[in-house]
Amino acid sequence: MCFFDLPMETKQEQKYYRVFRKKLIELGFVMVQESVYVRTLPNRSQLTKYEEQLKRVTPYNGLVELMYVSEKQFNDRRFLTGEKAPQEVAVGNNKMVII
Amino acid sequence: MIKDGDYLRLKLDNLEIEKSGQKFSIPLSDIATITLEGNILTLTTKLLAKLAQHNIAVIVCDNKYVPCGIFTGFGQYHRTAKRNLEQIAWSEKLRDEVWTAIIRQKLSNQKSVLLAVDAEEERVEKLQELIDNIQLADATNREGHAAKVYFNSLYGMKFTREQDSLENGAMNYGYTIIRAYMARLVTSLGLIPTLGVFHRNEFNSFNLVDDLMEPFRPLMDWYILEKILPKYPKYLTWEARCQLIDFLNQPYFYRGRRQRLI
Repeated sequence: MCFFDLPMETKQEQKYYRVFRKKLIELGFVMVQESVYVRTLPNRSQLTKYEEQLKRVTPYNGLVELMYVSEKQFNDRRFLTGEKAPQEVAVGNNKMVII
Repeated sequence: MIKDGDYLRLKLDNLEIEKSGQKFSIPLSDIATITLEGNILTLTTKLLAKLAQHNIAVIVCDNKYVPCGIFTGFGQYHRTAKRNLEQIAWSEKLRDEVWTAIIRQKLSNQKSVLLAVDAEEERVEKLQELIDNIQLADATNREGHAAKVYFNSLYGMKFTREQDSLENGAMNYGYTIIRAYMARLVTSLGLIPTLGVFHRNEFNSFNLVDDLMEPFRPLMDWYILEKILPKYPKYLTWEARCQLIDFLNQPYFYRGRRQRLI
């Protein structure tokens, strides 16, 4: 899970934001809500690889946080309002995706 | 598995699927195979190129939902030329030995299937006898005899693989799924799929793949007997086809260790 809050005041900062967000999507992260992105991985040893790649494009100011949760913990989220996006229902962390 | 989608395209290293206004995206690095069904799906060349680079096998089905084409990556392995030269230099002796090992494994898997479905003891013994008599490169074609003993025990004495029946349909579908996945492995390791160890059909571009997938066929047979035929007795429904593809996600044991194909 990746949460971020990046400043968007100057043109330069906006560019950093765009590069960062693009990288997140390239690495397979999916937006669950604004500034909250999620990627499922098959095992713990893969984590570092993604973390390294993200580090390279992280802007120097702002706030970017990574949190590792197990599949079970993630699936046990409670929705006070709203529901899972169709993307998450169809793809989620299924081994086989049927569309 | 994608049925009647509208568009498939590449979006920042993700496969984007558009279907009736909804968009779904899946990271390419998470995909092993894609099965396409239905007549009206459009996809871009750029995406196909990226799929090949990620060694993703694409299986295309015809209008009767039967898989009829495989698209795999080509030359993506970093030392393809070296592997190719080594492969061309395989000696006759080596190939014979490899084929013997493959056939032995296949027949012993068939025996396990018979044991698992409580076939008559006499038949199992017959199969064991055939296994014991395998010669180098299966010169006496024990494989063919075993197939007869095996399929007749599973589906009755009248059964042949040529019949137009549900069992055969399911097997043909299932085998194609394994074949596509195996083709993906072979090409991703820089091997030439046309140069087999036993299969040498000049019209077949997947000879090596057909060699290597032999031991996996009985696993699929068992899967069909267990999960498909009891649940879908009439014809291969959409759910049955999805389940057949899901075979690739089943764990299996090899030398006592739990493994997965994918």
